[in-house]
Amino acid sequence: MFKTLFKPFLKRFIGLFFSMAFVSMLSVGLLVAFTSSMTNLSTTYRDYKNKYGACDALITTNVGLRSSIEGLGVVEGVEAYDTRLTMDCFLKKSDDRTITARLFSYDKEMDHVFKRYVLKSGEVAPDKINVSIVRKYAENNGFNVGDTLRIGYASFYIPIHISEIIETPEAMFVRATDYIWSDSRDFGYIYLDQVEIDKVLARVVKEYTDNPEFKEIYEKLQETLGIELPDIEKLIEVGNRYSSFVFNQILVKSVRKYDQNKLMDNLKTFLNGKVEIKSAQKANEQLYQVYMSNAVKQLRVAATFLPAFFYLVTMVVIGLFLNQIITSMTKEIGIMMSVGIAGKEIRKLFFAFTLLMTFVASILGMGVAVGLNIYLTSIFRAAYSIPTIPFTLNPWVCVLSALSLIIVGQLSCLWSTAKIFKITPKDAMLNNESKRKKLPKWLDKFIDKAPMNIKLSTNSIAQNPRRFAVSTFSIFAAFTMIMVTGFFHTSKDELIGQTLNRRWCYDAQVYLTEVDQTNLIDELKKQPSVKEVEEGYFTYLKVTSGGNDFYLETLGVDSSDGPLVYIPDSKGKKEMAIPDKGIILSKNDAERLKVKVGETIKINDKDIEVKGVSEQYFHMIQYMSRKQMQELGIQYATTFLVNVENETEFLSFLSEKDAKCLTVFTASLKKDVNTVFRSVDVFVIILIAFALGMSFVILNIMSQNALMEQQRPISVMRAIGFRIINISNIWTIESFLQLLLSSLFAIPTSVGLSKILFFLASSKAQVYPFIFDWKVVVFGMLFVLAVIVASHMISMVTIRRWNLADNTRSRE
Amino acid sequence: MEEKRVVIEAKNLNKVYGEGEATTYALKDVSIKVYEHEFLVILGGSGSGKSTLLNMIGGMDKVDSGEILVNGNDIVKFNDRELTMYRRKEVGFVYQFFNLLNDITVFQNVTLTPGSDKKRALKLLREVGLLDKKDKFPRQLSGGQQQRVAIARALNKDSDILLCDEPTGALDDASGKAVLKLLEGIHNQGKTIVLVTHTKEIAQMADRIITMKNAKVVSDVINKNVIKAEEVEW
Repeated sequence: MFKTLFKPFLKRFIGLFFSMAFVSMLSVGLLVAFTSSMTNLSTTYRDYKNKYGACDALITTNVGLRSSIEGLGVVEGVEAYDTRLTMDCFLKKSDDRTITARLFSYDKEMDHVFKRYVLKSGEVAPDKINVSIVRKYAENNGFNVGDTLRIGYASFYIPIHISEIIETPEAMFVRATDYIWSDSRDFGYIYLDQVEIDKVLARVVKEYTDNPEFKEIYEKLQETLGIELPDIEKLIEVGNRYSSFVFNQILVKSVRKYDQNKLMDNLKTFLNGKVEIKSAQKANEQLYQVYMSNAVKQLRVAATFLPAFFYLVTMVVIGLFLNQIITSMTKEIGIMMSVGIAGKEIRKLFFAFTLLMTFVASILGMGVAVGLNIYLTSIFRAAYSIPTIPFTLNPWVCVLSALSLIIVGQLSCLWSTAKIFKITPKDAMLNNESKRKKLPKWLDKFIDKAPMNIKLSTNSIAQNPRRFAVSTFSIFAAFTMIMVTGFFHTSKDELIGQTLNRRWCYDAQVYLTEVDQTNLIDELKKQPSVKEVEEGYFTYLKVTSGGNDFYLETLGVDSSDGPLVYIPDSKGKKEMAIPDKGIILSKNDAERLKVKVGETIKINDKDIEVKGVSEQYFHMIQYMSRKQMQELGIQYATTFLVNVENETEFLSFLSEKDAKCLTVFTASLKKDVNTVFRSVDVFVIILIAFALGMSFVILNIMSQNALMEQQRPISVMRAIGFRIINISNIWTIESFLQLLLSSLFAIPTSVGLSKILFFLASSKAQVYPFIFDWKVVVFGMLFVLAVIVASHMISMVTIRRWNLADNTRSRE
Repeated sequence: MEEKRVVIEAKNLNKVYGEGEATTYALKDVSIKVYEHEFLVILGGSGSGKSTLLNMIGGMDKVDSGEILVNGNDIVKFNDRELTMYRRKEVGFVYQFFNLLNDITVFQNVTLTPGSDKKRALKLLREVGLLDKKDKFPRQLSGGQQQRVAIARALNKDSDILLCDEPTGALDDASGKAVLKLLEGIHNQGKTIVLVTHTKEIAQMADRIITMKNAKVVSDVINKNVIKAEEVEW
């Protein structure tokens, strides 16, 4: 019996089969692509980190001898450690433009602690100083293997030869801080083997002996300082001997699962008295790890919720389609039951149909997943500097996704086919036109008095309220998805707008590295290359609240009325003025400190009142007046914000002052932020396309279903002279009701869902604000309306093709 | 007169549709008996309850109250599985509008019942004169031909009871007569036939005529002037 009936059954509903398969294919494809690319990213990052020297503790010290920290290897919690020398310098590009670089030494034999990932290698010239340059740095500046560049300070430069292009985890997210350079915009890392460091020193010796200017500088220095400096040759000789043994950074790999705080305490205790610790960072405090963990967290939220939502919708869609098939087959089902075919035998047809459909969808879905995965992975590669994120689909993810789809399909089938058992053969074989449901008396009276269109429309709904509910649900689901993605887009724009456009409304921020640079600031103000300058006091203030200490980035400026300082208010919208006394905290930090406006916190052992809270989404910073800063002991301006007229002249001026300042251009910061956000836009487009595609398919099916139910009455109306436009008015009223009802539920649902998702995606360093934008609602409504109109038009085409004689005849 | 075995006995059947002001009695306290090998006609106008009664006996619809004993078993108490087996094995049903499955062939329709015999199906198709059409689809046949296929399907089981609901209702005179002739032949082979009709002329073929009106049995008489199918004129 099964074999006899299944083939014609499949043939008859082949259109619906492929519609269901299409929707299911998208769900599987999205789930597999999202999950695979997310898994690939986080797994690759983790492996990359473990293998290529991402350390668990990074300690920056003064320059010391390696022998002074002998015994570090046996400190509890330390599995292995290495030391290295790091320093910042200038790099002259071929066009003589000076950019900045950070040099690191490394020891090939310690590659279990630090190892380079070599992307490209060239000739190692024994007579040259060979360096490895990080890929992003090389790409941004057009460097390649075999190029010769010059590194140095002031007028003293030595040539270097690029022998490798590499990646290192710490180079994934580079931020220029702490050290001296003029232009952090094109800043990157250069690595030198210990052997090459020796060559550098040898070169310095040569320059010294060959370059009388160098000797003069050194002798003048001795004169100025009024002390006897070591003989430079002796110094170089000593340095040469000990170059392999000096360091100013320690990299530590910890014992697996060892407590990171305890490790830090142990290291600090050991190093106390041996070296001066300038900074000590655990794994989760190192910039690139913070950056990546935030990114992975946000992607994980997207990869978890969105596919789950798609699967839920797919389950509903499959159920709807099956319902429609059952409705159209009601009579056949009745016949089958009347000849003694059991309900569960009939059900097998549907289970088999759904099983085949989900199987086909799974196969096709893998194709979608491959394409989407490639695209997502390319986005990730551009956004995060991990050398090889594979394009692979995780086989377990594929299998589990396919299995989940099959299970979802079978569950839908179970739910939809339950009604087979509820109908008697006699009822099933009766007229296919559904019986009109009983309505409340007041509604019946209203319908009686209503114009013909409303009467027919309401009757159509009353005849099959389930169909109406299902269509409304599909519009609701599409509308919700479009609005959630729209709200996310608005949030992202607001974040960018507030941070990139309003707060970062200056071209550069210059950080002064020595105290009292009043002369420099005065000089700068006179520079024709500078349009506007705003002085500020910038520091990390130690804040005590609730018995805990926090270090908060704080800027002290004269007034927020100045053009270069913009402080958002507590809603993130308007500008806030800086009070003479007190502090304005970022909202995020206020929540961390658990303080409100009007309360006090301790800063440098002084009680300071919280005068305001500023809603900032990114790069959170506190504000106070210069006067307040001075009262806290910060006496000199330590930063200034600049709008630049001529960048080359500005940089040229600063190059001479490199010993005293660091410049950060907001353009490069904005570029980095935009790159990451561009990848978010991909998700937005995919989701909207999916929402619209699915709702169109569902609405179309439901419309066709409605037409089938109403085939005879519609044909009779046409036979007596109704035009198609008159008939379509019936559905216009129904569609209007559907749009109204779905909006009533979709708007609050999308608001709630958005708030939850944004909360989950936000972190300490970055907040996604929820902003209700009516444009999103209107935009969503228009899109959904377009889908409704399209399905309407298809219905009208169907009606036009009907044979009125056949449809108005008796049933057989 | 030889005592005939009662194969079907319906006792005090009631069936109501709707509620409140819209209540409609489809059957009101109806009791009938069907004897083995007889040709029984249930005659009545539209809304008399005759089709409802037949659907109850055929296990196609549920009774509100009463008993229906078929070969001693009360089918009203049957669960879904038992009712399915009852429809599969105990009774064959022929409908006014044939109710063939349009997506499968004639032969497949006749062998649709689970456990049905393929050889017997071919034999039945030959008997109804449609063996040459066994690979056609129902939509390729005339109304009369479709009804004959439906009869073959109803007979392709081990049951001796055939229930017919207005089998000629959707047919022209010639086709209708052909169907009646077929039914006559089946009856002559020993089958028990219960036929529902609103046509008095067709009722004259029966051994016994039960008349229904307004959901009640109004008469139950033996037909003393049984006529042959070819003599039926309506």
